[in-house]
Amino acid sequence: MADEKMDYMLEVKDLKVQYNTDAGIVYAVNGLDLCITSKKTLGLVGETGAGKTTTALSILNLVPNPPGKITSGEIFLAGKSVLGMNINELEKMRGNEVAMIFQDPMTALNPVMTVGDQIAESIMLHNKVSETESMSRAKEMLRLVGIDEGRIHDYPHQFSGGMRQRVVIAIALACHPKFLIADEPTTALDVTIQAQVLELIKQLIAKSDMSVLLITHDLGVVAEICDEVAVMYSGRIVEKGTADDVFNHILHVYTEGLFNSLPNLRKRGEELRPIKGMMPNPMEKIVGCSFAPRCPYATKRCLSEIPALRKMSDTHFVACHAYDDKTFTLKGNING
Amino acid sequence: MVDISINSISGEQELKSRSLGQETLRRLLKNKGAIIGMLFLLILIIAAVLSGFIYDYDTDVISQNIGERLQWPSRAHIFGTDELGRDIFIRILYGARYSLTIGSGSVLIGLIVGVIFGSIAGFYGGMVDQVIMRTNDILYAVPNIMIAVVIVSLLGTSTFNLLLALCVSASSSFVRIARASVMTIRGQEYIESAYAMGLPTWKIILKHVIPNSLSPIIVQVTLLIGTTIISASSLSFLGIGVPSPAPEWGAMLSAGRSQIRNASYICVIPGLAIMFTVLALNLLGDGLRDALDPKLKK
Repeated sequence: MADEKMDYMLEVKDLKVQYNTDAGIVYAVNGLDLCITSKKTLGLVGETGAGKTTTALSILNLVPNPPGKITSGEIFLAGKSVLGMNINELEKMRGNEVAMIFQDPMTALNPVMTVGDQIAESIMLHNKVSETESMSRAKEMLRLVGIDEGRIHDYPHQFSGGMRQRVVIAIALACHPKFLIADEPTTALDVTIQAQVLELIKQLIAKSDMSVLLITHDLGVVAEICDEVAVMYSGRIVEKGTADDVFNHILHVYTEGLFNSLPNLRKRGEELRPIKGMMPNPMEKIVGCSFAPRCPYATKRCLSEIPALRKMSDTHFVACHAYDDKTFTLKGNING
Repeated sequence: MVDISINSISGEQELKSRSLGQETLRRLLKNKGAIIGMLFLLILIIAAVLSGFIYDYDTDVISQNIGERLQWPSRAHIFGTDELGRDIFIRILYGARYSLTIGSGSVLIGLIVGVIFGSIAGFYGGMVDQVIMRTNDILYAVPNIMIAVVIVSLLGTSTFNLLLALCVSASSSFVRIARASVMTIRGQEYIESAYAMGLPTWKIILKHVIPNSLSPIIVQVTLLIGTTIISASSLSFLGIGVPSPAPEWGAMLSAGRSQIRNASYICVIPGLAIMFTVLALNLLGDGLRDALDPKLKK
């Protein structure tokens, strides 16, 4: 058991997070299991509201409380329990061992501090170095992300969106974290800049020994970067496997729907094919499989019993009751 | 190492690095009203400081000279003399010290107290917020002058007590502004990012939250100094401000009331002094508000 843990950079077991709002309880994450082997990149895919960002914040124990509350589960980072740490241990861990890249570079930088100061801030906090030393390391970081080091005394408003995201990446990597969480790092950027930033992230991952959790709803980004993929729906993992497993041997109906929803450039003029129905209201506690109301294969059992992740091959897992029937295959009729 | 630099970066390089402070100053200097306000205040401050060195308080400012009483403005006394023969020009200059110290002093104390409580209320929210804000609402509901009258009559009339009395109402408006401004900053992603970086909360408030919520507070400082000068003068007019014979503008105005029919300048001149000082502060405040408004940024 102990040996097994060593392999994992991140291990999340049965994580449940809820937000207690005035309007009622919002169930954001409902029993999530996830692990990332060290030096691997895992893509966490799912639509808006699936609980991806809440999962990321839980890993840093940063779920805003109140209203958020982690009601059950365990999170191990390099073998250490994150939820059991006191505030000092957490502050030591954040930014140093685990860093996070935020979604919107326009708001993720402090507008009244120079970018150099913001990079150096994290370096000075976690390493006992002088201000000059930390500034020279900040320059190094800027060069690493492809920004001229002469701009170290510039303010965020003097940079474009893509450049700001580079700065955000530089801040995240300033202390050489072992684990990086990238929460939709390219979503707020336009397509050409997306490609540049993606290329940068890819190269930085390749060069370092980091494990990465890449959160996105963009399947193209996942295909580009990730070793493994986990598909999230309504606060739970419904399918996970290597990129090859999930892209070429789809098992879960939802994953299939997700792929079929992508507009096809070759068939212009064809109607878009979204998945029928809506994601369940997160304020209702779900009894059975959360996808059952939209699933063409749903049976009575799906409405009453939560499907566990079942092993379909050495690397490929799916949470679906339909695979009780050994001959079951998807018929490709999920999209309307 | 892989070369990832991109050509477009060098194009932006020519932009001169300019801090938000420099940027604000540049925009402030484009505003004529703000320049006039600043110049007036600068002259007033210099005059107030110098008056202490040029004139002697006992012989020039408060000593009576009955022979020259009630003289209209002339070459010898440009603002005339009051009913006790004192030169009004000298008294106005010297009086600027009272108005400026009381105005800026009470606003400064109010600023510190108000920003501390307002930031705490805005940042933590919940019960803490409720307690601080409701207490503040109670203070806010009572008219400023009322509070000041009560405090001064409890502690006795002196310049320091007046300052203390006025800072209570100043702080309650800072609590509101600081809270509102901190609440919007608190939800920003860079605050979350600072937490993810491992910064402790107090550092986040000090380095990230307060510097970003300063703009509305700075504007309020200039506007509130004006209001406070008026309040201080009002209290002196009522006889519970700066005790006589000190040349406080409101007290001078009050003393001239009995002569208003034959020597109106005794009232008019201190009144104008108050008006122009407050006007200058408001012009500066308006200019600052425009300069700090992100929507007007080019």
